[in-house]
Amino acid sequence: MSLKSHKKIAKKVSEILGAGRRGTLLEEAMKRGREGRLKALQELSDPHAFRMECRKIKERSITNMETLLEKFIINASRRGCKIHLAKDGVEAINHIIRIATEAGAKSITKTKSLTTEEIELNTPLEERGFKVVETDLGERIIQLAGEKPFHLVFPAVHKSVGEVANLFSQLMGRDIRPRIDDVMEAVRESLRSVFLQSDLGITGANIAIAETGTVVIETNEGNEQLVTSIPRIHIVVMGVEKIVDTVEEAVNLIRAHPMSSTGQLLTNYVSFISGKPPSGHDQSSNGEMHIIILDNGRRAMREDSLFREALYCIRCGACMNVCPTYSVVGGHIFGHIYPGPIGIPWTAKIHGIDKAAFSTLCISCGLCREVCPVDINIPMMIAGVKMMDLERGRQPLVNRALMGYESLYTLASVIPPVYNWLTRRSFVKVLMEYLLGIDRRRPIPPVSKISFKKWFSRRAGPRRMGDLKVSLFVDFFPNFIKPHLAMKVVQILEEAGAIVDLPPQRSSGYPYIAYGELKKALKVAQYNVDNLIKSVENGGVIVSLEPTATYALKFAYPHLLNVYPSSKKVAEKTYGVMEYLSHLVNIGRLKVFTSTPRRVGVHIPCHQRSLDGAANTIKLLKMAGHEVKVVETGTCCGMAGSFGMKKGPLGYDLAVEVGGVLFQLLKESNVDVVATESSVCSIHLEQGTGIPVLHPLELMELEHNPQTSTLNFHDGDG
Amino acid sequence: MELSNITKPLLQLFKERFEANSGSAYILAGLDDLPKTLSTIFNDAGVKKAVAARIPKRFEEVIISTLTASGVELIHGASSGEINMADAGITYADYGIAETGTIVEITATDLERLASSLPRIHIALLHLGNLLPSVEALAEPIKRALQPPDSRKYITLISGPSRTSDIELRSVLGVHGPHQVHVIVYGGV
Repeated sequence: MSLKSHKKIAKKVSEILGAGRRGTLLEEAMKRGREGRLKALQELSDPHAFRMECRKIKERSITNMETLLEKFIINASRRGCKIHLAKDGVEAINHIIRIATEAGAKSITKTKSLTTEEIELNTPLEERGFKVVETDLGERIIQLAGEKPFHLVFPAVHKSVGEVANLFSQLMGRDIRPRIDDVMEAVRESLRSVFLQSDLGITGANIAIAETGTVVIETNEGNEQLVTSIPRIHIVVMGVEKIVDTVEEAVNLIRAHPMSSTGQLLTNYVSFISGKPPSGHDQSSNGEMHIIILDNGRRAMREDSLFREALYCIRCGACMNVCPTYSVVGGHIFGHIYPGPIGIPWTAKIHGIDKAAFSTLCISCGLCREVCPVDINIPMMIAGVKMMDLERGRQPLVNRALMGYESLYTLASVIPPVYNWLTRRSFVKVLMEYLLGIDRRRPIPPVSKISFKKWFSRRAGPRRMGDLKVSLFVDFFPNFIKPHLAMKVVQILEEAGAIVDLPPQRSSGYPYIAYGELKKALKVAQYNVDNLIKSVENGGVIVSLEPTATYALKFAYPHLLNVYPSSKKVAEKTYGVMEYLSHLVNIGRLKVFTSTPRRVGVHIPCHQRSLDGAANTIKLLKMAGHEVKVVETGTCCGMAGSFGMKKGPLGYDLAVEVGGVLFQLLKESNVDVVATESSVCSIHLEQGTGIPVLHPLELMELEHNPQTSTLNFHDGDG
Repeated sequence: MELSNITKPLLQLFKERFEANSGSAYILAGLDDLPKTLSTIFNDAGVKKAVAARIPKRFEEVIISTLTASGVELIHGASSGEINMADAGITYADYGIAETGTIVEITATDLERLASSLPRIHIALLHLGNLLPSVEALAEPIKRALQPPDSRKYITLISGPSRTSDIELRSVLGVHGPHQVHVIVYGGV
C-alpha cells in the first residue's frame, strides 16, 4: 500500500473516528445480514456442496463466456430482444440515449442496478432532458440526497427516518411526518404516479440464461414489475459476466444470492423475463426490449489470472457484512462505486487503481472469503490491488518496519534483556512511534531469553524412535516471544510417540500479503514449501503453531504458487496444533486434563475460521474439564496481525474501534480467562478487556495415554 | 380427493413458509368454501374495486357472484392506469413452491402481470397439484413455459407482499406492490 493512499484514507478515517460513530445502524444491518445468512444456511442439507456447486456454475460461465454470449444473443433475439454490445460505459450510454430518443421517451424509471451506477448513467440522461427516477426506495433516497450508496443491499442505511421524511417533504411540497408509515405512504404515492407515466424502464440483471435468452431480476420491493411492465420499452443493462448456460444453473443462483445477502430463502420477487410480451391480449405487441451487454474491463479481468475470480461475484454483499473496518467507516470511504471487500478488485480493474486507494482499509482478516457464496479468493485479489498501488508510490515506513519484524527480533534475541528494557521505556516507545510508526500505546512483546529454534537445535535427547513423523512450523511469535508453548508441543508430541523435527523455515510471510508485497511473499512461500515438502515426502505431517501461519501454508501458498504441485501437497499435510493434538487424543495416544477448571471464553481468530473454526480447541478445553463458551461478534477483533500495532487512524485507533463490541461482550461474559490460538489477537484482547488471555495449551495438560493405539491419522477420528 | 402422504407435509410446509413470508394461505376443504373465503378477504381488507386476470373458466361465475354479493366492483383492467384503480387483483398462480413459500405466475402480457403487482391486495388461486417441493423443481416448468423459443413471457416468483427495510432497517410491507398477498389452495382434501 503506497504512502499516498495511506495518507488519503487515514485522513478520512480520522474524521469518522473523530466525529463519533455514525455506524450503529450500519453495524446492525451487517449483524442481521450475518445472522440471517447463518440461519438460511441451515436450510441446506450440505452448505459446502451447494457453495462449490455455485462456484462451478460461475466458473463455467466465465470459462465459456464468449460461447454463452453468442448463445444468449441468438435465443434472446428469437424472443424479439434487440442486443447492443458496449465495450465501455460511453458506448452503453450512447446506445441508451439513442433508444430513448428514437422512442420519444420522456420519463425513465429504474430498478437498482450497480452496473448502471458503474457507468454513471443517470447524469448524461438527465443532461439530455430525460427525467430519471430511481424506484428502489434506498436508491431513491440516495438520489434525492445526491449521494452514493452506503451499502450494497441497504444503500441508505445511514439516513434516519427524519432525514428521509425531509427529503420527501421537499419533493412533494408538503409536510411528511417523520414516522415510518407516513413516509412509506408518501413514497408509494409519489412513486406511483411516476410509474404510471413512465415510458421507458431500465433494469440491471442478476443473471442471464443463454439457453432460453432470459434475463433474471430480483427485487424485494416489487418495483421491477412496475418498471418493466408499465412502460412500452424495457432496457436491460448487464455485464457480460452475468450469463449462465441453463435454467438449472439460474435457479441455484437465485437461492445463493438472498441466503448470503439478507438470509431470505428467496428474494421476494424473482422475475424470469424472456422478451417483452404484448401489453394486453387485444393489442398487437408494440413493446420493445433492449439488452445492453457491457464489457467495460470485464474481458481484461477475465484474462488476468489473479482478478478473474472477481467476475464470479453475484453481488450479495455478504463480504461487506463481515468486513471489520467497513463496519466502522461505511461504504462512502470503503468504496468508490463498488463498495466493500469485493469492491476493491472491481474498482481497481473497472475504475482504475487511483480510485481504489481504499484497499488500504483492508486488514487482511480473510473473512470475506469465508462468507463468499462462490468462494472467491477476495483477500488475495486485494493483496494484488495493494501491489498495483505500491507501483505508484513507496510503502509507508511503518509497514516496512512491521514486515521486517523478523530481522529485528533475530537481532533482539541476541541481547534480549537490553531489547526488553528498551522497549519498556516510554522514551523508546515515543521514538518507535515517531521513527517507525508503531503506536506507543501498544505494549511491545518482550523477546524471550532463548528462541525456540535455538533451544531446539541445542536440546539434549530428542526422541529418535516413533511411528509418527511431525515437522513443526513455528512462526515468529512462538519462536521469539512464546517459545515455552512450542517447547510444550514438542514434549507432548514425543509423549504421543512422534519423532519431531524442525525443518529450515522462515516466518509465514503473511504480512507481505497483507501489505501487498506479493513478490516477497512468493519468495518466502517458495522457501518454506521447498523445505517442508521433504518432510511430507518422508511420510510426515506439518504441525503449525499460529492460525495465520497455518492459513498461509494451507490456503495462501497454494494460491501464490499455483503451478507448483509441492505447495498443494504441503497444504494437504498441514494441521493446526490443536487440530493435530485433538487427533492424537481421538486415537488414544494422549489424555487431556487440568488441575484448575475455569470459565474460559474462546476467541476464534479470523484465519482459523477457514481451518477448524477452533472446534478442536473447544473440544479439548471441555475434555480437560473447563467451562467453555465461545464469545464472538462474527467478525474480526480488529488486530489483524500487525495492523493494530500501527500508530493513528489506520492502525491502533481503528483496531480499537473495531474491537470495541467484542471487548464489551467478553467483559460481560463473566469468564475468568480468554483462550485463543493467535498471539496477536491475544495482545489486543488482553489490552482491550483486562482479562488474561492464554493459549489453549496453557490451560491444559496432555499426557501419554497408556492405552495407545497405532491407528493412522484419519482412522480414529469420528 | 385424498391427499397423498407426500402432498400433505408439502402443503403444510408451503402454508407455514408462505405465512412466514407475511402472506396468508387458505386451504379449501371444497370449492363450496371459495365464496366465503373470498368475501372474508374482501371485507377484512375493505376491497371496493377488483381486477381479475387468468382466472380458470370454472371459477369465473363463482367469483363474479361473490364480488357482486360483497359489493365489490369488477373493473376491466384494460390499462395500467385502470388496474391502478383496483384495491385488489385476483389472479391464478401456476405453481407454488413449498420450501420457500412462493407462488409462481407465468404471464404472457404486461397487464396480466400488473394485476398482481399494482393493487394493494393480491389474491391468488393455486391448485394443490401444482405445488412443487423446491425451487430446483421449478427448472423444468420454466423451460416448458418458454416453449416455443420465440414466445415472450414473464415468469414471476412471489414470496409474500412487497417489502423494504431501506429506512432504519425497519421492515415495512407494501412499499410499491401489494401490502397483502393471499393464496387460496384448492383441489385437495
